[in-house]
Amino acid sequence: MKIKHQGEWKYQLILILSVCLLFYPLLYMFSTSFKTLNQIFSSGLKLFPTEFTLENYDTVFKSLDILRFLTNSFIIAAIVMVCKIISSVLASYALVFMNIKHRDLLFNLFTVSMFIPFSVIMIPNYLTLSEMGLMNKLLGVALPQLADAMGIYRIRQAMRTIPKSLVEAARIDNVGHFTALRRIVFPLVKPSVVAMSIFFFINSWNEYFWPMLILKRKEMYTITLALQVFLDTESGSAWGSSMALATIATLVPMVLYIFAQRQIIGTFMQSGIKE
Amino acid sequence: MMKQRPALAKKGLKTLEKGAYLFPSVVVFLVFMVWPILYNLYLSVLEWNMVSPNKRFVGLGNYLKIFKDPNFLKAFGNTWLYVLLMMAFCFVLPYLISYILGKLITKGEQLYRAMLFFPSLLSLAVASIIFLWLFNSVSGPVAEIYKLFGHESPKWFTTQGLVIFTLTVITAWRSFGYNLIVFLAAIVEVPVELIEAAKLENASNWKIFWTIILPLTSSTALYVFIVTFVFGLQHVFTPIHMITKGGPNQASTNLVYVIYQYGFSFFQTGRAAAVAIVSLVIFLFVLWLQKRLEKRVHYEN
Repeated sequence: MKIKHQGEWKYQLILILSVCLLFYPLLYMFSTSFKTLNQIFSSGLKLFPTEFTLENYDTVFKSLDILRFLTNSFIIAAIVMVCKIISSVLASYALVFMNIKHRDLLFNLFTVSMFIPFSVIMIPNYLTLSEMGLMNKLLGVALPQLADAMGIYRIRQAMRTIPKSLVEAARIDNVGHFTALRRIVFPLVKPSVVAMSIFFFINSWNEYFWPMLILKRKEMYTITLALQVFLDTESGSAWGSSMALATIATLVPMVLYIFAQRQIIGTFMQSGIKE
Repeated sequence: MMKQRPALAKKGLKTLEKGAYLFPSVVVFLVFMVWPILYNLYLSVLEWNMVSPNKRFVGLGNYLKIFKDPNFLKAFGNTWLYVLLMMAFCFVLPYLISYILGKLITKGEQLYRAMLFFPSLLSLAVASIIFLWLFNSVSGPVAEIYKLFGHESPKWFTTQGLVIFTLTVITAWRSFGYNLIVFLAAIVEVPVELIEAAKLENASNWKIFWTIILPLTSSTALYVFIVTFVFGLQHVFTPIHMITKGGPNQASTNLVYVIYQYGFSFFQTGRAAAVAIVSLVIFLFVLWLQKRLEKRVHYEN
């Protein structure tokens, strides 16, 4: 329920302004990717091109193996998503519905680890991965991303809203844990699981740090990492192409978000932080 | 005897089953989180270049050295500047906007929050590229605005002092939406009756924020504060690495970037590890502070 406030228009104005400010860079990226170099330099603040061109996309596809980069990104993001979701659902079930010694301690350790910055673990992980022979391998980029407790945190949160008696009743009827998870618990937390899956996929797709550290050979690049190719050219000539590449890199997260916007925001709103 | 054995076996089986559920997560955490922290501690007392088989034990030597290294000291100072600016953009601003969104408007909440959250789903690498051109001091849109008023645009990425601001804006643009949603989740839970009662006493919206919203959402605020602190420093690494490489003159470097530089540009693994441990100590201290404050907040509520 909402209360009517006097002068709501002022607040609407602030919000509209915020949306504009946040969206301007995006629109700028998008429109610049369709401009000729001439227009980029002469159009000033005008967002939309007077003359629509695909030459930037042409340049990008001709000079880089974009499909390869997209495939690499997809493989890494898929590995990260599947592994993280399976391990988080299993661990969350154990933490909520099984009698585990030191359960709270274990959960607290998981959550504290969410706040351990990657800078603390990057050099040891780099050494571990090179020992494992995973330099320049997609798996090498995926593995360190798995140690993230966000999934356990959110999915446990969702599972805690399920009455324990529901699972206990089934257990008394000799239903195994795995069946209880599959038949009773999973269907009830499915929206959260879907939202987290998509969130993990997008985050991994966007990851810059691990790919930069692990993937040195150009044919192993992810689409995000490929963005730095156009940075090396100091002149303004790559302006349009870099915006075209940025647009391509944004497309997948954008489409996924449009489809799953409700679930993603719902999952973050549902639990808040406390209890 | 005869009866005990199956019971024991059953118990063992149960433990095994529990273990199986936790196993994947625990293994990943041990290998890629717990072990690296310990390993880092060990590396920080060595002199080593990451490739040579010779490792030399130097005790606290690396720690003493980094605290005399101007590069590290600069990064240490910059880190607090980054934190301060991040707090303004990613803590204060989303707090106020989510109050407007959650309590002060009657129409459009769903649409606004979906749109404001959107940049949080983009890559920081994409953000860096966009802003590199947006803030291009010759003919980027920001420079055009300056021209409209007959001024020359400052050099956003190569001016000491200014560059930290610019890189923070890039990072904040990406992180704003996420923090907004977390705040909003807490603010919509604040009972409407409390606000109505305050309205009857003619309290201003500003006063309502300070006397009702703030106290009732303080544990969320603490959480966002920590998240902004810890992740802000990590996230800003991407624009630093892509755009400035810590420059000009180390003006934009921070603790995370210095670790990377020591480790992968100068091949001083021991010093990199020592900086990593120093940053870990800072983070753990902040985390501890949060837990203490959180207890007090709950007590007051």
